[in-house]
Amino acid sequence: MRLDLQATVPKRTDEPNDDVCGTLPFCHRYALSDGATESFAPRQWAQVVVQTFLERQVVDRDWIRRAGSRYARNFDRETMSWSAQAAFDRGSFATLLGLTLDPGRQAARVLAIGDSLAVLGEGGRIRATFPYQRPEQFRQRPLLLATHLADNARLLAPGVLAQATVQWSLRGLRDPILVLMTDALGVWLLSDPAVRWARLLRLRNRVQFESLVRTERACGQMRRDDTTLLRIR
Amino acid sequence: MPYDAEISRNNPSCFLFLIDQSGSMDEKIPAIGKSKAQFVADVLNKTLYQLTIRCGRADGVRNYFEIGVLVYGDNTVRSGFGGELSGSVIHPISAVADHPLRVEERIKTVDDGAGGFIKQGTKFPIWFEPVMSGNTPMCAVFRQVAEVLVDWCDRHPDSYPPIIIHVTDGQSTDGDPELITDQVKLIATHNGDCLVFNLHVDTSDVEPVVFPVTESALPDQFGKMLFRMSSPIPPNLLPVARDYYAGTADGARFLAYKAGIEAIVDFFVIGTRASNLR
Repeated sequence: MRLDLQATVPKRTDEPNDDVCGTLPFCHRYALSDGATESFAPRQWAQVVVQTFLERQVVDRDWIRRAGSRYARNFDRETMSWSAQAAFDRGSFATLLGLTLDPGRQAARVLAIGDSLAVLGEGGRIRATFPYQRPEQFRQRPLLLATHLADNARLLAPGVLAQATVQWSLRGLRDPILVLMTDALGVWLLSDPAVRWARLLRLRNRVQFESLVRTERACGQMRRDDTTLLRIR
Repeated sequence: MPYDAEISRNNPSCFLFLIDQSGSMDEKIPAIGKSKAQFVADVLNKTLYQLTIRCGRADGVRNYFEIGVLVYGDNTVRSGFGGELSGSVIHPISAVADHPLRVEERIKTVDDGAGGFIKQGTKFPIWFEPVMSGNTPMCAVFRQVAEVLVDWCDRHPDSYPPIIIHVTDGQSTDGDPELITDQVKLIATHNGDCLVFNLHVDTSDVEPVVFPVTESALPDQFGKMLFRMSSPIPPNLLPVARDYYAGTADGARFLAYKAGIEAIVDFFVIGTRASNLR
Protein backbone atom coordinates (compact mmCIF):
# COMPACT_ATOMS: atom_id res chain seq x y z
CA MET A 1 0.00 0.00 0.00
CA ARG A 2 1.19 3.51 -0.65
CA LEU A 3 0.17 7.10 -0.02
CA ASP A 4 -1.83 8.20 -3.04
CA LEU A 5 -3.34 11.47 -1.82
CA GLN A 6 -2.31 13.98 0.83
CA ALA A 7 -4.23 17.24 0.94
CA THR A 8 -5.25 19.98 3.35
CA VAL A 9 -7.44 23.07 3.23
CA PRO A 10 -7.08 25.74 5.94
CA LYS A 11 -10.10 27.12 7.73
CA ARG A 12 -9.38 30.52 6.20
CA THR A 13 -6.75 31.67 3.79
CA ASP A 14 -5.62 34.39 6.22
CA GLU A 15 -5.28 32.01 9.21
CA PRO A 16 -2.52 29.46 9.81
CA ASN A 17 -3.39 25.83 9.21
CA ASP A 18 -3.01 23.93 12.48
CA ASP A 19 -3.32 20.47 10.88
CA VAL A 20 -0.02 18.72 10.34
CA CYS A 21 0.68 15.40 8.68
CA GLY A 22 3.84 13.42 8.17
CA THR A 23 4.81 10.16 6.56
CA LEU A 24 7.65 7.68 6.51
CA PRO A 25 6.39 5.54 3.63
CA PHE A 26 9.35 3.18 3.56
CA CYS A 27 8.71 2.45 7.26
CA HIS A 28 4.94 2.27 6.63
CA ARG A 29 4.24 5.03 9.15
CA TYR A 30 1.75 7.83 8.74
CA ALA A 31 0.64 10.47 11.23
CA LEU A 32 -1.86 13.28 11.39
CA SER A 33 -2.29 15.86 14.14
CA ASP A 34 -4.87 18.60 14.56
CA GLY A 35 -3.63 21.40 16.80
CA ALA A 36 -6.41 22.78 19.00
CA THR A 37 -7.34 26.36 18.16
CA GLU A 38 -7.36 27.41 21.79
CA SER A 39 -3.69 26.68 22.30
CA PHE A 40 -0.55 28.75 22.56
CA ALA A 41 1.26 27.22 19.59
CA PRO A 42 -1.01 24.56 18.09
CA ARG A 43 0.85 24.12 14.83
CA GLN A 44 4.25 23.77 16.49
CA TRP A 45 2.83 21.22 18.92
CA ALA A 46 1.14 19.28 16.12
CA GLN A 47 4.47 19.20 14.25
CA VAL A 48 6.25 17.83 17.32
CA VAL A 49 3.52 15.23 17.87
CA VAL A 50 3.74 13.99 14.29
CA GLN A 51 7.53 13.92 14.26
CA THR A 52 7.73 12.11 17.59
CA PHE A 53 5.20 9.50 16.45
CA LEU A 54 7.10 8.82 13.25
CA GLU A 55 10.17 8.14 15.39
CA ARG A 56 8.43 6.11 18.09
CA GLN A 57 4.96 4.62 17.79
CA VAL A 58 4.26 3.65 21.39
CA VAL A 59 2.91 6.65 23.26
CA ASP A 60 3.50 6.61 27.01
CA ARG A 61 4.61 8.96 29.77
CA ASP A 62 8.17 9.08 28.48
CA TRP A 63 6.99 9.77 24.92
CA ILE A 64 4.90 12.71 26.09
CA ARG A 65 7.70 14.05 28.29
CA ARG A 66 10.14 13.97 25.36
CA ALA A 67 7.68 15.60 23.02
CA GLY A 68 6.90 18.30 25.59
CA SER A 69 10.60 19.06 26.04
CA ARG A 70 11.12 19.22 22.30
CA TYR A 71 8.22 21.69 21.99
CA ALA A 72 9.39 23.84 24.93
CA ARG A 73 12.82 24.32 23.36
CA ASN A 74 11.15 26.64 20.83
CA PHE A 75 10.27 29.20 23.50
CA ASP A 76 11.88 31.33 26.22
CA ARG A 77 9.24 31.69 28.92
CA GLU A 78 11.19 34.17 31.03
CA THR A 79 11.32 36.85 28.34
CA MET A 80 7.64 36.64 27.42
CA SER A 81 5.01 39.31 28.07
CA TRP A 82 2.48 38.43 30.78
CA SER A 83 -0.11 37.36 28.20
CA ALA A 84 2.30 35.19 26.22
CA GLN A 85 3.62 33.64 29.42
CA ALA A 86 0.11 32.88 30.67
CA ALA A 87 -0.89 31.35 27.34
CA PHE A 88 2.34 29.35 27.25
CA ASP A 89 1.66 28.09 30.79
CA ARG A 90 -1.82 27.03 29.73
CA GLY A 91 -0.17 24.88 27.06
CA SER A 92 -0.92 23.57 23.63
CA PHE A 93 -3.15 20.67 22.71
CA ALA A 94 -3.44 18.42 19.67
CA THR A 95 -4.88 15.17 18.40
CA LEU A 96 -2.73 12.31 17.17
CA LEU A 97 -3.84 9.81 14.58
CA GLY A 98 -0.99 7.41 13.92
CA LEU A 99 -1.05 4.57 11.41
CA THR A 100 1.53 1.80 11.26
CA LEU A 101 1.27 -0.84 8.54
CA ASP A 102 2.69 -4.31 8.91
CA PRO A 103 2.91 -5.69 5.35
CA GLY A 104 4.19 -9.07 6.58
CA ARG A 105 1.13 -9.70 8.72
CA GLN A 106 -1.11 -7.70 6.42
CA ALA A 107 -2.29 -5.60 9.34
CA ALA A 108 -2.75 -1.96 10.22
CA ARG A 109 -2.39 -0.53 13.71
CA VAL A 110 -4.16 2.76 14.43
CA LEU A 111 -3.55 4.95 17.46
CA ALA A 112 -6.22 7.64 17.86
CA ILE A 113 -5.91 10.29 20.56
CA GLY A 114 -8.61 12.89 20.10
CA ASP A 115 -11.17 13.27 17.35
CA SER A 116 -9.25 12.70 14.13
CA LEU A 117 -10.74 9.75 12.26
CA ALA A 118 -9.26 6.66 10.58
CA VAL A 119 -11.33 4.74 8.04
CA LEU A 120 -10.72 1.28 6.59
CA GLY A 121 -12.44 0.59 3.33
CA GLU A 122 -12.64 -2.31 0.95
CA GLY A 123 -13.45 -1.34 -2.58
CA GLY A 124 -16.40 0.97 -2.52
CA ARG A 125 -17.56 0.46 1.06
CA ILE A 126 -16.44 1.30 4.56
CA ARG A 127 -15.50 -1.68 6.72
CA ALA A 128 -14.49 0.13 9.93
CA THR A 129 -13.91 3.57 11.41
CA PHE A 130 -11.96 4.54 14.51
CA PRO A 131 -12.23 6.03 17.10
CA TYR A 132 -15.78 7.12 16.20
CA GLN A 133 -18.56 5.42 14.29
CA ARG A 134 -21.30 8.05 14.42
CA PRO A 135 -21.28 11.80 13.68
CA GLU A 136 -22.71 12.79 17.07
CA GLN A 137 -19.63 11.33 18.80
CA PHE A 138 -17.67 14.31 17.50
CA ARG A 139 -19.64 16.51 19.91
CA GLN A 140 -17.83 14.97 22.87
CA ARG A 141 -14.94 16.91 24.32
CA PRO A 142 -12.00 14.70 23.28
CA LEU A 143 -8.89 13.92 25.30
CA LEU A 144 -5.96 15.60 23.59
CA LEU A 145 -2.21 15.40 23.92
CA ALA A 146 -1.03 18.34 26.03
CA THR A 147 2.40 19.94 26.14
CA HIS A 148 2.51 19.86 29.94
CA LEU A 149 2.90 16.35 31.27
CA ALA A 150 0.60 17.07 34.22
CA ASP A 151 -2.26 17.86 31.82
CA ASN A 152 -2.09 14.34 30.36
CA ALA A 153 -3.12 12.58 33.58
CA ARG A 154 -6.43 11.31 32.19
CA LEU A 155 -4.77 10.11 29.02
CA LEU A 156 -2.12 8.27 31.02
CA ALA A 157 -4.64 6.61 33.35
CA PRO A 158 -4.52 2.79 33.17
CA GLY A 159 -6.13 1.40 30.04
CA VAL A 160 -6.87 4.69 28.28
CA LEU A 161 -4.10 4.51 25.69
CA ALA A 162 -4.81 0.82 25.11
CA GLN A 163 -8.39 1.73 24.28
CA ALA A 164 -7.07 4.36 21.88
CA THR A 165 -5.50 1.65 19.74
CA VAL A 166 -7.03 -0.74 17.22
CA GLN A 167 -5.59 -3.43 14.97
CA TRP A 168 -7.21 -3.99 11.59
CA SER A 169 -6.46 -7.11 9.60
CA LEU A 170 -6.11 -6.45 5.89
CA ARG A 171 -5.81 -10.15 5.07
CA GLY A 172 -8.19 -11.24 2.38
CA LEU A 173 -9.45 -7.72 1.64
CA ARG A 174 -9.74 -6.82 -2.01
CA ASP A 175 -8.37 -3.33 -2.72
CA PRO A 176 -8.07 -2.22 0.92
CA ILE A 177 -7.88 1.51 1.47
CA LEU A 178 -7.03 3.51 4.58
CA VAL A 179 -7.94 7.16 5.01
CA LEU A 180 -6.88 9.45 7.85
CA MET A 181 -8.77 12.71 8.30
CA THR A 182 -9.31 15.55 10.73
CA ASP A 183 -12.63 16.10 12.48
CA ALA A 184 -14.51 18.39 10.08
CA LEU A 185 -14.10 15.83 7.31
CA GLY A 186 -14.85 12.98 9.72
CA VAL A 187 -18.20 14.43 10.78
CA TRP A 188 -19.07 15.10 7.17
CA LEU A 189 -18.23 11.55 6.10
CA LEU A 190 -20.08 9.78 8.93
CA SER A 191 -23.18 11.92 8.36
CA ASP A 192 -23.78 10.20 5.00
CA PRO A 193 -21.12 7.50 4.75
CA ALA A 194 -22.23 5.58 1.68
CA VAL A 195 -22.48 8.57 -0.63
CA ARG A 196 -19.58 10.54 0.77
CA TRP A 197 -17.14 7.64 0.92
CA ALA A 198 -17.60 7.24 -2.79
CA ARG A 199 -16.84 10.93 -3.27
CA LEU A 200 -13.60 10.63 -1.27
CA LEU A 201 -12.56 7.61 -3.33
CA ARG A 202 -13.12 9.50 -6.58
CA LEU A 203 -10.73 12.31 -5.65
CA ARG A 204 -7.69 12.26 -7.88
CA ASN A 205 -5.63 15.17 -6.64
CA ARG A 206 -5.36 18.08 -4.18
CA VAL A 207 -7.26 20.45 -6.42
CA GLN A 208 -10.27 18.16 -6.40
CA PHE A 209 -10.05 17.82 -2.62
CA GLU A 210 -9.96 21.59 -2.21
CA SER A 211 -12.93 21.92 -4.50
CA LEU A 212 -14.91 19.34 -2.51
CA VAL A 213 -14.15 21.07 0.80
CA ARG A 214 -15.02 24.53 -0.49
CA THR A 215 -18.25 23.28 -2.07
CA GLU A 216 -19.39 21.47 1.06
CA ARG A 217 -18.52 24.44 3.27
CA ALA A 218 -20.40 26.79 1.00
CA CYS A 219 -23.58 24.73 1.21
CA GLY A 220 -23.26 24.30 4.97
CA GLN A 221 -22.56 20.57 4.87
CA MET A 222 -19.02 20.82 6.24
CA ARG A 223 -17.86 22.83 9.24
CA ARG A 224 -15.28 25.52 8.48
CA ASP A 225 -12.16 24.18 10.11
CA ASP A 226 -8.72 23.08 8.98
CA THR A 227 -9.44 19.98 6.91
CA THR A 228 -6.88 17.34 6.05
CA LEU A 229 -6.87 13.95 4.38
CA LEU A 230 -4.26 11.20 3.92
CA ARG A 231 -5.30 8.34 1.65
CA ILE A 232 -3.30 5.13 1.45
CA ARG A 233 -4.06 2.25 -0.89
CA MET B 1 -31.91 33.20 15.57
CA PRO B 2 -29.23 30.57 15.74
CA TYR B 3 -26.39 31.89 17.96
CA ASP B 4 -23.98 29.74 16.00
CA ALA B 5 -21.62 32.24 14.34
CA GLU B 6 -18.02 31.21 14.39
CA ILE B 7 -15.88 33.63 16.34
CA SER B 8 -12.86 34.68 14.35
CA ARG B 9 -10.65 37.72 13.96
CA ASN B 10 -12.86 38.85 11.08
CA ASN B 11 -15.98 38.34 13.18
CA PRO B 12 -15.07 38.90 16.83
CA SER B 13 -17.60 38.69 19.62
CA CYS B 14 -18.11 41.21 22.39
CA PHE B 15 -18.33 40.91 26.16
CA LEU B 16 -19.59 43.96 28.01
CA PHE B 17 -19.37 43.85 31.80
CA LEU B 18 -21.57 46.20 33.85
CA ILE B 19 -20.42 46.55 37.43
CA ASP B 20 -22.46 48.13 40.21
CA GLN B 21 -20.16 50.33 42.32
CA SER B 22 -22.81 51.69 44.68
CA GLY B 23 -22.07 52.12 48.37
CA SER B 24 -23.72 48.84 49.37
CA MET B 25 -21.02 46.90 47.50
CA ASP B 26 -18.83 47.78 50.52
CA GLU B 27 -20.54 45.06 52.56
CA LYS B 28 -18.20 42.24 53.62
CA ILE B 29 -18.67 38.63 52.56
CA PRO B 30 -18.09 36.83 55.87
CA ALA B 31 -16.66 33.63 54.35
CA ILE B 32 -13.71 35.42 52.77
CA GLY B 33 -13.45 38.70 54.70
CA LYS B 34 -13.54 40.75 51.50
CA SER B 35 -16.14 43.27 50.39
CA LYS B 36 -18.51 42.36 47.58
CA ALA B 37 -16.80 45.02 45.46
CA GLN B 38 -13.33 43.57 46.10
CA PHE B 39 -14.47 40.03 45.32
CA VAL B 40 -16.23 41.08 42.10
CA ALA B 41 -13.12 43.05 41.09
CA ASP B 42 -10.96 39.95 41.68
CA VAL B 43 -13.28 37.75 39.65
CA LEU B 44 -13.47 40.29 36.83
CA ASN B 45 -9.67 40.60 36.69
CA LYS B 46 -9.41 36.81 36.59
CA THR B 47 -12.05 36.64 33.85
CA LEU B 48 -10.23 39.20 31.71
CA TYR B 49 -7.02 37.22 32.30
CA GLN B 50 -8.69 33.98 31.19
CA LEU B 51 -10.25 35.57 28.11
CA THR B 52 -6.85 36.94 27.12
CA ILE B 53 -5.20 33.55 27.55
CA ARG B 54 -7.82 31.96 25.32
CA CYS B 55 -6.76 34.36 22.59
CA GLY B 56 -3.03 34.14 23.36
CA ARG B 57 -0.86 32.56 20.69
CA ALA B 58 2.86 32.40 20.13
CA ASP B 59 2.49 35.20 17.58
CA GLY B 60 0.49 37.49 19.89
CA VAL B 61 -3.02 37.97 21.25
CA ARG B 62 -5.61 37.40 18.54
CA ASN B 63 -8.61 39.68 18.53
CA TYR B 64 -11.34 37.08 18.82
CA PHE B 65 -13.08 39.22 21.45
CA GLU B 66 -13.77 42.86 22.11
CA ILE B 67 -14.20 43.78 25.73
CA GLY B 68 -15.89 46.62 27.58
CA VAL B 69 -16.39 47.38 31.24
CA LEU B 70 -18.93 49.98 32.37
CA VAL B 71 -19.10 50.87 36.06
CA TYR B 72 -21.93 52.76 37.68
CA GLY B 73 -22.57 54.35 41.06
CA ASP B 74 -22.74 57.78 42.69
CA ASN B 75 -24.87 59.16 39.82
CA THR B 76 -22.26 58.39 37.18
CA VAL B 77 -21.53 55.82 34.48
CA ARG B 78 -18.00 55.50 33.11
CA SER B 79 -15.58 53.05 31.55
CA GLY B 80 -14.20 50.68 34.16
CA PHE B 81 -10.85 50.62 32.43
CA GLY B 82 -8.19 53.09 33.48
CA GLY B 83 -5.10 54.55 31.84
CA GLU B 84 -4.91 54.33 28.06
CA LEU B 85 -8.15 52.34 27.87
CA SER B 86 -10.30 54.88 29.69
CA GLY B 87 -11.09 56.96 26.60
CA SER B 88 -13.63 54.56 25.11
CA VAL B 89 -15.81 51.71 26.29
CA ILE B 90 -15.00 48.72 24.06
CA HIS B 91 -11.52 47.58 23.08
CA PRO B 92 -10.02 44.69 21.12
CA ILE B 93 -8.69 42.13 23.57
CA SER B 94 -5.10 42.69 22.41
CA ALA B 95 -5.37 46.30 23.58
CA VAL B 96 -6.81 45.12 26.89
CA ALA B 97 -3.87 42.73 27.24
CA ASP B 98 -1.38 45.50 26.48
CA HIS B 99 -2.79 48.01 28.96
CA PRO B 100 -3.54 46.69 32.43
CA LEU B 101 -3.24 49.19 35.27
CA ARG B 102 -0.31 47.17 36.57
CA VAL B 103 1.17 43.68 36.44
CA GLU B 104 1.84 41.95 39.75
CA GLU B 105 4.54 39.33 40.19
CA ARG B 106 3.19 36.28 41.98
CA ILE B 107 4.47 32.83 42.83
CA LYS B 108 2.33 29.83 41.97
CA THR B 109 2.75 26.16 42.74
CA VAL B 110 2.48 23.92 39.71
CA ASP B 111 2.40 20.17 39.20
CA ASP B 112 5.74 19.05 37.76
CA GLY B 113 4.12 16.02 36.11
CA ALA B 114 6.32 13.62 38.04
CA GLY B 115 4.40 13.46 41.30
CA GLY B 116 5.81 16.65 42.76
CA PHE B 117 5.25 20.38 42.74
CA ILE B 118 7.47 23.31 41.87
CA LYS B 119 7.19 27.02 42.58
CA GLN B 120 7.07 29.19 39.50
CA GLY B 121 7.06 32.97 39.10
CA THR B 122 4.09 34.28 37.19
CA LYS B 123 2.73 37.67 36.15
CA PHE B 124 -0.82 38.67 37.01
CA PRO B 125 -2.37 41.78 35.45
CA ILE B 126 -4.81 44.07 37.25
CA TRP B 127 -7.23 46.16 35.21
CA PHE B 128 -9.94 46.87 37.64
CA GLU B 129 -9.93 48.23 41.21
CA PRO B 130 -12.91 48.08 43.57
CA VAL B 131 -14.82 51.31 44.14
CA MET B 132 -18.07 51.69 46.08
CA SER B 133 -19.94 54.90 46.60
CA GLY B 134 -23.40 56.42 46.38
CA ASN B 135 -26.48 55.22 44.55
CA THR B 136 -27.32 52.69 41.79
CA PRO B 137 -28.05 54.40 38.42
CA MET B 138 -29.01 51.17 36.64
CA CYS B 139 -31.16 52.84 33.97
CA ALA B 140 -28.32 55.17 33.04
CA VAL B 141 -25.88 52.30 32.56
CA PHE B 142 -28.29 50.37 30.33
CA ARG B 143 -28.92 53.51 28.26
CA GLN B 144 -25.18 53.70 27.64
CA VAL B 145 -25.09 50.00 26.83
CA ALA B 146 -27.70 50.59 24.14
CA GLU B 147 -25.68 53.41 22.59
CA VAL B 148 -22.48 51.41 22.57
CA LEU B 149 -23.98 48.18 21.25
CA VAL B 150 -26.06 49.70 18.46
CA ASP B 151 -22.80 51.02 17.08
CA TRP B 152 -20.94 47.76 17.70
CA CYS B 153 -23.58 45.61 15.99
CA ASP B 154 -23.65 47.99 13.01
CA ARG B 155 -19.92 47.45 12.63
CA HIS B 156 -20.08 43.66 13.19
CA PRO B 157 -23.30 42.49 11.50
CA ASP B 158 -22.19 38.86 11.11
CA SER B 159 -20.68 38.37 14.56
CA TYR B 160 -21.92 36.29 17.44
CA PRO B 161 -24.12 38.77 19.34
CA PRO B 162 -22.69 40.75 22.27
CA ILE B 163 -23.03 39.32 25.77
CA ILE B 164 -23.76 41.79 28.58
CA ILE B 165 -22.81 40.54 32.03
CA HIS B 166 -24.42 42.75 34.65
CA VAL B 167 -23.35 42.47 38.29
CA THR B 168 -25.39 44.24 40.98
CA ASP B 169 -26.33 43.90 44.62
CA GLY B 170 -29.31 46.18 44.80
CA GLN B 171 -32.21 47.93 43.24
CA SER B 172 -32.05 50.70 40.70
CA THR B 173 -32.23 54.23 42.12
CA ASP B 174 -32.96 56.02 38.83
CA GLY B 175 -36.13 54.31 37.66
CA ASP B 176 -37.30 51.04 36.18
CA PRO B 177 -34.51 49.47 34.11
CA GLU B 178 -36.77 46.80 32.61
CA LEU B 179 -38.00 48.94 29.72
CA ILE B 180 -34.46 49.85 28.73
CA THR B 181 -33.16 46.28 28.95
CA ASP B 182 -36.08 45.18 26.77
CA GLN B 183 -34.72 47.60 24.14
CA VAL B 184 -31.15 46.40 24.65
CA LYS B 185 -32.27 42.81 24.07
CA LEU B 186 -33.62 43.84 20.67
CA ILE B 187 -30.24 45.10 19.46
CA ALA B 188 -28.98 42.34 17.21
CA THR B 189 -26.49 41.04 14.72
CA HIS B 190 -27.60 38.70 11.94
CA ASN B 191 -26.75 35.87 14.33
CA GLY B 192 -29.05 36.81 17.18
CA ASP B 193 -30.17 39.39 19.71
CA CYS B 194 -27.84 40.73 22.38
CA LEU B 195 -27.78 38.56 25.48
CA VAL B 196 -28.27 40.09 28.92
CA PHE B 197 -26.98 38.05 31.87
CA ASN B 198 -27.74 39.25 35.41
CA LEU B 199 -25.80 38.37 38.53
CA HIS B 200 -27.14 39.51 41.87
CA VAL B 201 -24.53 39.19 44.62
CA ASP B 202 -25.42 38.65 48.23
CA THR B 203 -23.58 38.07 51.50
CA SER B 204 -26.16 35.89 53.23
CA ASP B 205 -26.00 32.12 53.43
CA VAL B 206 -29.23 31.53 51.54
CA GLU B 207 -29.23 29.14 48.60
CA PRO B 208 -28.88 31.13 45.37
CA VAL B 209 -31.40 30.79 42.55
CA VAL B 210 -29.33 29.93 39.49
CA PHE B 211 -30.66 29.68 35.92
CA PRO B 212 -34.39 29.67 36.77
CA VAL B 213 -36.97 28.76 34.13
CA THR B 214 -39.92 30.65 35.58
CA GLU B 215 -40.41 33.94 37.37
CA SER B 216 -42.09 32.11 40.25
CA ALA B 217 -38.71 30.62 41.22
CA LEU B 218 -37.65 34.07 42.47
CA PRO B 219 -38.55 35.01 46.05
CA ASP B 220 -39.29 38.75 45.66
CA GLN B 221 -40.24 41.49 43.20
CA PHE B 222 -36.64 42.58 42.56
CA GLY B 223 -35.63 39.01 41.72
CA LYS B 224 -38.64 38.65 39.42
CA MET B 225 -37.67 41.86 37.63
CA LEU B 226 -34.10 40.62 37.13
CA PHE B 227 -35.58 37.41 35.73
CA ARG B 228 -37.54 39.39 33.14
CA MET B 229 -34.42 41.43 32.35
CA SER B 230 -32.37 38.27 31.68
CA SER B 231 -32.05 36.50 28.34
CA PRO B 232 -32.67 32.79 27.90
CA ILE B 233 -29.42 30.80 27.84
CA PRO B 234 -28.53 30.26 24.16
CA PRO B 235 -28.24 26.66 22.97
CA ASN B 236 -24.45 26.70 22.66
CA LEU B 237 -24.06 27.66 26.33
CA LEU B 238 -26.59 25.18 27.73
CA PRO B 239 -24.12 22.26 27.87
CA VAL B 240 -21.61 24.48 29.67
CA ALA B 241 -24.26 25.61 32.16
CA ARG B 242 -25.17 21.96 32.77
CA ASP B 243 -21.54 21.10 33.49
CA TYR B 244 -21.88 23.36 36.54
CA TYR B 245 -25.62 23.12 37.28
CA ALA B 246 -26.81 19.77 36.00
CA GLY B 247 -30.49 20.63 36.32
CA THR B 248 -30.38 23.62 33.98
CA ALA B 249 -33.45 23.27 31.80
CA ASP B 250 -34.10 24.35 28.23
CA GLY B 251 -35.42 27.89 28.33
CA ALA B 252 -33.62 28.77 31.58
CA ARG B 253 -32.72 32.43 31.99
CA PHE B 254 -29.15 33.55 32.49
CA LEU B 255 -29.68 34.82 36.02
CA ALA B 256 -28.10 34.06 39.37
CA TYR B 257 -29.97 35.60 42.29
CA LYS B 258 -28.50 35.99 45.79
CA ALA B 259 -25.28 34.47 44.51
CA GLY B 260 -22.45 33.74 46.93
CA ILE B 261 -18.79 33.38 46.05
CA GLU B 262 -19.10 30.02 44.31
CA ALA B 263 -22.03 31.03 42.12
CA ILE B 264 -20.32 34.35 41.26
CA VAL B 265 -17.24 32.56 39.96
CA ASP B 266 -19.32 29.98 38.06
CA PHE B 267 -21.45 32.71 36.52
CA PHE B 268 -18.45 34.52 35.02
CA VAL B 269 -16.93 31.29 33.71
CA ILE B 270 -20.14 30.09 32.06
CA GLY B 271 -21.08 33.52 30.73
CA THR B 272 -17.78 33.96 28.92
CA ARG B 273 -17.52 30.40 27.65
CA ALA B 274 -18.24 31.07 23.98
CA SER B 275 -17.09 27.78 22.53
CA ASN B 276 -17.03 28.27 18.81
CA LEU B 277 -13.68 29.95 18.35
CA ARG B 278 -12.28 29.30 14.90
